[in-house]
Amino acid sequence: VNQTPVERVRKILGEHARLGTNIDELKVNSNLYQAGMSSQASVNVMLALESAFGVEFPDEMLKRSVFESVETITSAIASLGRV
Amino acid sequence: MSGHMLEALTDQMRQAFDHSVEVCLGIDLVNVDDIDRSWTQFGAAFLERIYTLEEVQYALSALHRSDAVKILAARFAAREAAIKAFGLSEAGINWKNLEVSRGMDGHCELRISGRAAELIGPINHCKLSLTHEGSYAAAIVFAVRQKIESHDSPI
Repeated sequence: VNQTPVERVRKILGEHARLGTNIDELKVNSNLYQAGMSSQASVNVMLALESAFGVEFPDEMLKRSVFESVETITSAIASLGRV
Repeated sequence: MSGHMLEALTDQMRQAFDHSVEVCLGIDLVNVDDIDRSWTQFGAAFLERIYTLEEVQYALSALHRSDAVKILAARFAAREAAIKAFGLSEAGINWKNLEVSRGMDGHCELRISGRAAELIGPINHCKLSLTHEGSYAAAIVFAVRQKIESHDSPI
């Protein structure tokens, strides 16, 4: 089944972000940290995204805001040319 | 009041109101089991992305995996505490720029390098405290650094 980039990001967040709520209930611009994602969980999300999309986030993208929402994550991966 | 006492008091006041330095404080708490899961799930990719070779070697020198995980958890907390202390959450830095250096006597220090060092600037004092107990590891970073010049700095 072909998933959209947003669906793929949501799936990874559901598996690794350890949110206090169901990822499907969050909007694309909902703040993931406010939804319960810890800094440590965001590292897992980053590593899972790198593996799934075949990218490596450069140091300058290792910012809290990059992993703040489904939207910002998808945008970051797109900027790496993998969406 | 003698001239000497006045001079001493003036010096103390000057230090108390020294606008050229900034006090930085950061704290972080990490669930040890979360670090264990990250290590299990992502293996070397997790270790290599976050920790320096020296830190990994020290952790792996522990007799038991559970002890290694606590060492790694405390060092993860140290990074997050430093990021908070120096306001680096939006800086985009390599985690390995913030390293825990352990002396022969067990005393730990924060070793700052690369772009993180450039952004933080000159540091007068920096203290790191690590602890772990049960399921949690924590770190506190306290530092006094030279304030980075900005447009609203007092002349």
